[in-house]
Amino acid sequence: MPIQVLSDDLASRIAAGEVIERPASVVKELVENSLDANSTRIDVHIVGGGAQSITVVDNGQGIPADELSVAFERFATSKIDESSDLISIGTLGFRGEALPSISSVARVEAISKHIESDAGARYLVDFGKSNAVEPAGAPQGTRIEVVGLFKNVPARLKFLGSAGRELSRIQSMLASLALVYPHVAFSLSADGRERLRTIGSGKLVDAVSGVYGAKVADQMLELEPDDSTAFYVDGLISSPSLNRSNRTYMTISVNGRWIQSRRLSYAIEQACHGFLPERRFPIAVARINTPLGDVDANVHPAKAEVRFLREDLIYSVVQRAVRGVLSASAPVHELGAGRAAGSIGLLRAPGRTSDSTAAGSIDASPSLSPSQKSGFTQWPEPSTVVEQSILPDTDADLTGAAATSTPKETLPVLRVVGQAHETYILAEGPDGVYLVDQHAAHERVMFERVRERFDQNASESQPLLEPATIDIGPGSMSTVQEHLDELNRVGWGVEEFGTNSLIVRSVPASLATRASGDGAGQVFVRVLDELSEGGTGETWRNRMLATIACHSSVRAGQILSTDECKDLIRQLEKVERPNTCPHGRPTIIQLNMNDLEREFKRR
Amino acid sequence: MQVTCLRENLSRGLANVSRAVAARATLPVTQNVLLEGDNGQLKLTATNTEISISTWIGAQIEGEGTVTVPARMLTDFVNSLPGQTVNIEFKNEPVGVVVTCDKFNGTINGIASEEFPPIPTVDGGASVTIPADTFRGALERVVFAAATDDSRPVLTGVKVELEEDKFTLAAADGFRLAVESGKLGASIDSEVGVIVPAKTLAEVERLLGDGSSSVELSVDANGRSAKFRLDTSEVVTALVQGTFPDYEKLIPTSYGTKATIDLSSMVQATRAASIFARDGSGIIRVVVSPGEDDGAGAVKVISRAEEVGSNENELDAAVEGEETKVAFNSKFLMDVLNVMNGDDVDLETTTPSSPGVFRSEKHEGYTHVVMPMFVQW
Repeated sequence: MPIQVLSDDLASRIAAGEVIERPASVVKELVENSLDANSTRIDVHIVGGGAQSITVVDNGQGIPADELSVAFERFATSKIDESSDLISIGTLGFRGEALPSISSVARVEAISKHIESDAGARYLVDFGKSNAVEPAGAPQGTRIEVVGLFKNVPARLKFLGSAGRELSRIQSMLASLALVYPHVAFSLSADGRERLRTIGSGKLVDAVSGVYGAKVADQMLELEPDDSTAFYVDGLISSPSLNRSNRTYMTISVNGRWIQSRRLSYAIEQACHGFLPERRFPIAVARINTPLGDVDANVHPAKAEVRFLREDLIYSVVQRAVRGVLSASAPVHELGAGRAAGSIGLLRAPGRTSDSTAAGSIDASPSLSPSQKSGFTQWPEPSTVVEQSILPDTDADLTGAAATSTPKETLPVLRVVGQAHETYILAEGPDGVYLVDQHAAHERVMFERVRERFDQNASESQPLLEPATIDIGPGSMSTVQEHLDELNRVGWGVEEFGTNSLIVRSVPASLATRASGDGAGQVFVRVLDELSEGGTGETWRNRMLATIACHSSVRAGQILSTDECKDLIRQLEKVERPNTCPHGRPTIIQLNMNDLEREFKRR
Repeated sequence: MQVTCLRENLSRGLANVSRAVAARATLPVTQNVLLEGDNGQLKLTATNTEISISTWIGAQIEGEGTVTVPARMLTDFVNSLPGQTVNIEFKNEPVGVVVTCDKFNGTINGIASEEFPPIPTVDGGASVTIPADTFRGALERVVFAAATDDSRPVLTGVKVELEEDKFTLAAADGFRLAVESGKLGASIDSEVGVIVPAKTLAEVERLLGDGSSSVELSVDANGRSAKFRLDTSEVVTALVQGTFPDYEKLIPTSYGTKATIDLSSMVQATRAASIFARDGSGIIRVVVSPGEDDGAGAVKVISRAEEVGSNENELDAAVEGEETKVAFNSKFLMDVLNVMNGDDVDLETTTPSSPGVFRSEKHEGYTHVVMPMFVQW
């Protein structure tokens, strides 16, 4: 076959493959256009998972009738004009590729009324074949309907998932956009059923409420932006008692553009380290603001990724913001938070135990699942009555968690009542009864103490009566060599002794009164095992300190006198972050006064 | 069988054996106490299979029989009885006892004594007699230094050595070592070295408070168990197997500085310093300075609590040698001072990184070694 230039038709279908991958990409491109047109309301209707039809209706400024056909030309855009504009891009779209790409693989009908014209216009492109622009009656804004997507690209059609799967992609994508644009009222309906609705009040918490539900929104903490610099982050992060088992609940935007960035989600994750249990993730919306020139959005065909001029700076800004708010206001874990409606755990009335697990599992499943959609249906019409956005959803009064979850800045004033099961300290406070896990609490106290001494480079070391020889795995030796400075600094006196053994001459002082010399030596092996899993820098250091703190602390099953309990609580009051242990488990749990009264049928 | 005894004696006997009653019952019968008649006395036995305690109390016994009943219930019931004498009647159908005291009457069901674990007989090995007060003092000053975690089982025990007319007890937990030697009642021919669980010795120490005049220690020929025979009680224990560290080479043979300090002042100063050390890492710094021109020297006991405050207590002391300083964990320091008696305590040390050795004129055979802490001065 001779070399030849491909026909326009084929070329645009190939190009479309870059931008338009699946129905969700169509929705994304169209919704972004609507956003660029300053819409305050965007409704998306999906039929058959988007393969049958996608309709996006907005109330934006619209397209003038005489520009309507130009909009479907390749590289036609109103968003930039000169190449210099590529350096600082403030709009979502700019390449002029979306509409021509979509129209080359589907039948697209656009009806639009421009803000300055009296009447609307209608324009139809049928799989690349354009028709004449006709006048049409239309409300302010643009309505684009995409029918029969990929009908002419069977290869692509084959790779689409089921309707449900494509819908869930659209749904989560739209949810992210809704979170990034709280001032826009989004709605999504699929096959006539509503899936998502936000009210567009401009408040992020309302958007969260629309997307994840009111219960979640109640437990979100606000990031405090330090907008004195050009780089800052605002948004929301879930309080530690509310967490999820995967990363998909983190939404990140840069200058109003929703992006996916592993590195930035990792920054959030890292900032939550120590507040959340292992392998649990926060719900977060982080809106990053940078000078426009600092971001290159022209990297990824679907613009899902961007490139930062100073990524490390952004990374640390995000981390600082998240960490700041978590440490400032990590609330006391409330018994039953993130658990079933009506159940308060320990005091659950008999006969109701069976429903708790079932209800709990629903709560843990993604809030966007169809089973929970009823939660969204009763929101008022967009942008009408903003005050009503704080209406509780239908079952909110059954959930003690949602109704009373006021984040507490520090530990409440506690009076020790006693010790239970040789594991928990029972205390009463201003707003109920509190249970403190003696080990977790002491671990937190010890962790901060050990870390403080470590940071001051003043850790004490307790030498052993008789140096202990310990055998370690071959991998561990390189960990020891790599981190010898830090190990010495925290108080371990170790020396190599043959290929796979070490001599331990001294141990961190805090271990001495909890374990024998040999026990402390074995803690060293434990530390190495945990630390050989990798990690560097601060993470590694914190894990090392946490392991030492763990072994320096009172255990569960140890009897404490009332004075010892009081002493522990007093020490816990003084630490920076009293509410979680360094591994992220809660140290203290509250049995709410209201719940107690309700359970005992006092009211 | 019918037993009549004083309630007070029965109460004390039950308290003596109660510490050997199993806490968690893998074998239900180990939560019971075995009652049997023995030479006109009532013998009570409890065992958790590692340690067994028997005690004898004076009683009037008619007939023969043995039975086991729940120790806790019998003890609590007996303690709540009003009268002076208690009558116990053994029953076969169902197995149990009827306890009568004045007009109080309790029936307690039990388990047949055949199911009670047999108490090992200890014989064939060495046997010595030790004066009770000597042995009790040594236990008091040594046993606490044994390790409480079982990462190295031999350290949870106390090394007991018998040689000629001398006994030696040694315990260490990796940071400190306590050793005490004393005289035996009579010399023995063979040398004995066994490791006795510290828990067992704590029980022996407690039982010695009963006023025994001497302790007879016997070791089984196979070296796996030992027996402590007191005037009215007996403790049989399994021995810890393994090799105890060579503790003698851990005791420094010389010192650079020796301070003789008034014991009660030192205890007071250390207790005060512990208050500040508590909020820090439990560090107590000790600075020893000799006096000028052969005058009296001084010891300073210093502690700091980060950002809270600090404490410095100065004591007079007779100091021999150079000025030196050393830091100890407050717990280790308090522990050793608390078991000392007499007027003075001697602290021997050389450098901030060499062990501190505590001795006392009052306890001639006693040596206590504490590893110092490495701290910033």
